[in-house]
Amino acid sequence: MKLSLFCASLTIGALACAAEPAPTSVVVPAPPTPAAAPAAPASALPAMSFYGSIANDELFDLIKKSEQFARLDKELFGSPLHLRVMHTLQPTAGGKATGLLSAIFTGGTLGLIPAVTNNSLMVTYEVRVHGRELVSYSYQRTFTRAVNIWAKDETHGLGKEGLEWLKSTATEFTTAAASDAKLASLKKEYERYFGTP
Amino acid sequence: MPNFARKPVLWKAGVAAVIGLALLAPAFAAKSALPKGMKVPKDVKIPNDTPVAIYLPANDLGTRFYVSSIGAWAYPGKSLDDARSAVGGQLFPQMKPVKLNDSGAFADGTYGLLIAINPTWNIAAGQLSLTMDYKVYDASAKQLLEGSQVQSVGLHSSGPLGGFPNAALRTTQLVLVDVLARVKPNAQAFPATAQIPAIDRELLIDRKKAVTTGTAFYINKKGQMITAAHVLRDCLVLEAQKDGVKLPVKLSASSNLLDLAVVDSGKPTDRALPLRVGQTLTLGEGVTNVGYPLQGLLADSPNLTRGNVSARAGMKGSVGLFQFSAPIQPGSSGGPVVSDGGELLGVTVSSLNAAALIKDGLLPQNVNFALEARYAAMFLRDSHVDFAEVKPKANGNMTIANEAALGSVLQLSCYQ
Repeated sequence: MKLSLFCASLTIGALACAAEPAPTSVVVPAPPTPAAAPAAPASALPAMSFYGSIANDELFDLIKKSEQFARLDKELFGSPLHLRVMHTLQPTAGGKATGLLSAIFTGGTLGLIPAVTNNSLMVTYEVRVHGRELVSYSYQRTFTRAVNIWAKDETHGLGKEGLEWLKSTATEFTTAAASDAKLASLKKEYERYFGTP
Repeated sequence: MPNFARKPVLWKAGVAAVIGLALLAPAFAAKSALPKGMKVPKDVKIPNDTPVAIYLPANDLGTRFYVSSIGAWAYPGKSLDDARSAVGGQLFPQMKPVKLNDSGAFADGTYGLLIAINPTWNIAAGQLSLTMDYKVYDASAKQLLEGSQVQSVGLHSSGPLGGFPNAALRTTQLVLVDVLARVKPNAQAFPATAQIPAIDRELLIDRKKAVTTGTAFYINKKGQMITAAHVLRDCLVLEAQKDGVKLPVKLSASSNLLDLAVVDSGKPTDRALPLRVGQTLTLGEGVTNVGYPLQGLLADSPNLTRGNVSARAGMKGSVGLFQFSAPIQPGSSGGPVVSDGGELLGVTVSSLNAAALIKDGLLPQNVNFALEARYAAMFLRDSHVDFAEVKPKANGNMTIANEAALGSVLQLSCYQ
C-alpha cells in the first residue's frame, strides 16, 4: 500500500464541516441578533481557518490579537487559506536515558519523587493556500522538567516554562508575518479577485 | 646473549608493526564514516569527493499525516529529506538535491553523478518498510546502475513513529553505499560537467504511474487548456491524452489561490469551450460535468454526469465557488461544468469529504464545488490567455451541453 492512500485522514477541517443534526422539535427559538463584529484593520490578511496541534485556544487567542490575523477563524472549513500550528515534542538523546532512570525512581517511590524529562519542542507555523504551503516559520527549544505524576497538568505536557515559551512563539510568528513578502502578495492577489473583505 | 639476539628481532617487528599500522590507518579512518556493517572496496574514498546530484519526488518529500490513535503527526517526507542530508553529507559531502524552484525549473548547480530515487512506504502489522528503487546516471545521462533496497523496522522503534526516520536513514545508507561499491566513483572519473537545470526529466520520473491525474479542457483555438492547479503540483512531466493520443503539455500560468492553471499543448484545436457573456449563473440550471476520474480503476474514457447548480456559494469561508450536484470522483478535478447552451459555467475543483462525514453519521450526496467562470475569466485576462464569450442559448439542451463538454476535455497526468 502506497502511503498516500491512508493520508486522506489529513483533512481535519472536513471532519467538522458537517452541520449539526437538525433538532426534532419544530419550535425553534429565534436566534439572537449577533453583535456586529469589529471591523478588521486594513492591514489584516484575508480570513483564514486555524488549527493548532497543541494549546489550540491559547495560541488562537494570541495570534488573533495581531492586526494581520484579525480575521482568523476556527470554523472557516471552506476557506482556501489555513494557518496551522504543528508541533513535535521528543525526548533529547540524553533525555531518553535520564527519563528511563527517573521513571524507575518515580515508579519505585509511587510517585513521591517527580519524574525528570528532557524534551525538545519544535513548533511550526504554516500558512497554506489550498493545502499548499506558502510560508512556514519554525521555533525550537529544549526543556528539562520535573513532573509530579499525581498533579493535574494544565500545560499540555509542556510545563509552565514550556507553555510560556510556546506562547512567545505566537508573537514571534505574527511579528515575522507582518513583514513577509509572500503573505503581502497573497493579500494583494486575494483582493484582486475577491475584493477587500 | 639470547636476550641480546632477540632484541633486534623484536625491534624490527615493532617497527614493521608501526609502519604497517601507519599505512593501514588512513584506510581504516576513511572507512569509519561507513554505516555499521557496510563495506565498500578499498579503493573507494569515503567521504567521497564525487559531485553527486540526488533526486527524490516532491510528492514523497511532502508526505505527512496525522495518526489519531497516538495523537501525533508522522512525517515520512521529512524523514526522507533528513536522511538524504545526513547520509548524503556523510558519504558525498558535495551532494546537491535536485529540487524544483517556485518557477518550476530546477535550481542551479552542476553534477558528475545523478542518483534518482523512487521511495515506497508500506505498513503492515506494526512493521514499517521502505523500498527505494534507484537509478544512477553519469553526466552524459548514461545509466550506470539500477537497484532496489528495502529496510523494515518497527513502526514505533525508537519512540512513537520513530520507524520513519529509522527506515529512511537505513535505506538511504544502503542505496548510497551500493552506489559507492558498484560504481566506485571519484571526482576525476565523474567531474561536475553537467548542469542540474538541464537534466532530462524523463531520467527522473516514474513512468509506470502518474503521481496525480485530472482533467483539462481547451479554452482557445491555440490549444491552451484550463485545469485545477492542484492537479499539477511539482510535476516534472505533464501529459494530456485524448482518445489514446498523448500530447506533452507545459504549464503556462497558475494560481494556488483560485486553484486554477493554464497548460499549453501548442497544437491548435477547434473544440474550445466558450464562456457565457458576463459569466452569469442561474440557481437550479442544468449542468453537464465531464472528467477522467479514478484512473487505474475505470477505463481511460471520459465520464459524463448531469446535475444542476445547487447553490451559489460553497462551504463556510470558501470564496469564488458554487455548488453543483453532478457526481464527481477523484480525477474529475479541472473538468468543465457546462450549461445546456454549451457555455463554461465553472471549473471542477473539490467535493465534500464524504468519508470524514460518514464517521459523524452523515452521508452527504452530490455536494461538489466549482470555481465560477467569472474568476476564470479574470485569471485568463491577467495571464494574457485568449478565450471566447457567447450569449446564453435560450434553446439549449443536454445534447448541446454534452457535445461541447465531451469535445473539449482531455485527461491530464502528472509524473514525478
